[in-house]
Amino acid sequence: MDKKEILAFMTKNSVAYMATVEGKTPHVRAMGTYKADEKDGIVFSMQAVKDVYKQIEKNPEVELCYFANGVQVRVKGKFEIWKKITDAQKEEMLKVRPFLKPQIDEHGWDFVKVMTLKNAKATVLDMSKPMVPGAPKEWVTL
Amino acid sequence: MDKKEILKFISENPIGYLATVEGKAARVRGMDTFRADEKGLIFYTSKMKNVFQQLEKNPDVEVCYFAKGTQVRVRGKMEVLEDLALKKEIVGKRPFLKTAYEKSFEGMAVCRLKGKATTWSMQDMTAATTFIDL
Repeated sequence: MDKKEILAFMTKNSVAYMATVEGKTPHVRAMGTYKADEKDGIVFSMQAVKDVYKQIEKNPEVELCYFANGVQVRVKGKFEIWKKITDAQKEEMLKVRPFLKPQIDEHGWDFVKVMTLKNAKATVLDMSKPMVPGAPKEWVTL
Repeated sequence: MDKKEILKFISENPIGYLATVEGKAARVRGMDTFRADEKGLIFYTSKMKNVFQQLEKNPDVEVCYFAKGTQVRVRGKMEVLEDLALKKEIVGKRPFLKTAYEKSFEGMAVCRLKGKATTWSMQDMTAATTFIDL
């Protein structure tokens, strides 16, 4: 898959298994991908109070794993946390994720943290193709 | 979910997303859970894989399972088992592994995770995080 196909795959199968590191220990949870396109990059949002956010603040090196129909896509990179969210971005976010509204009404926008994955590199494993043990992974820059 | 229900959930949804550490960075990939019972969770891979080298250096892992709005996360230390009978059993039940280990089981890695689990569901998003020993 090329860059375009990988981003489309992530958009269509938007559940990402996001791995972070806390000290020496890894953590992983399912997360919805907010966006994965050429214009805005790979974007996630999360609550500021969550452990996952605290882990990313300390160590932004993460890996994401997507899986659908026998195809696995792994994406590694460094998160860059947005310093501010513009009014247009806020409006768009509430349209895409209306369930955030009650919490934002109560706690304000500081409640939400948004981040973009930078220098992302992806590798694809297609289980319908024969596997070559020990073959080096091919990485596509997203 | 209690221990029994968690083990059943994993047995029914055996693809776990296994997170390991490489240097400072996180790694994660889908893994087939061969078995999930009182003795722990059993995984297999090849000793040639990066995941195995990561586990040898740092056995601290977390595995995430997700199905139908329910998420189970299991954390703990992975233990490498050199159990030939178990390797043979796994290859017997996973015929696609046969050609790789035809001559020897040396290159096959089997690991066990006896960890702590925490569950989360979309039906109860605000529940406090608690851990259950598996």
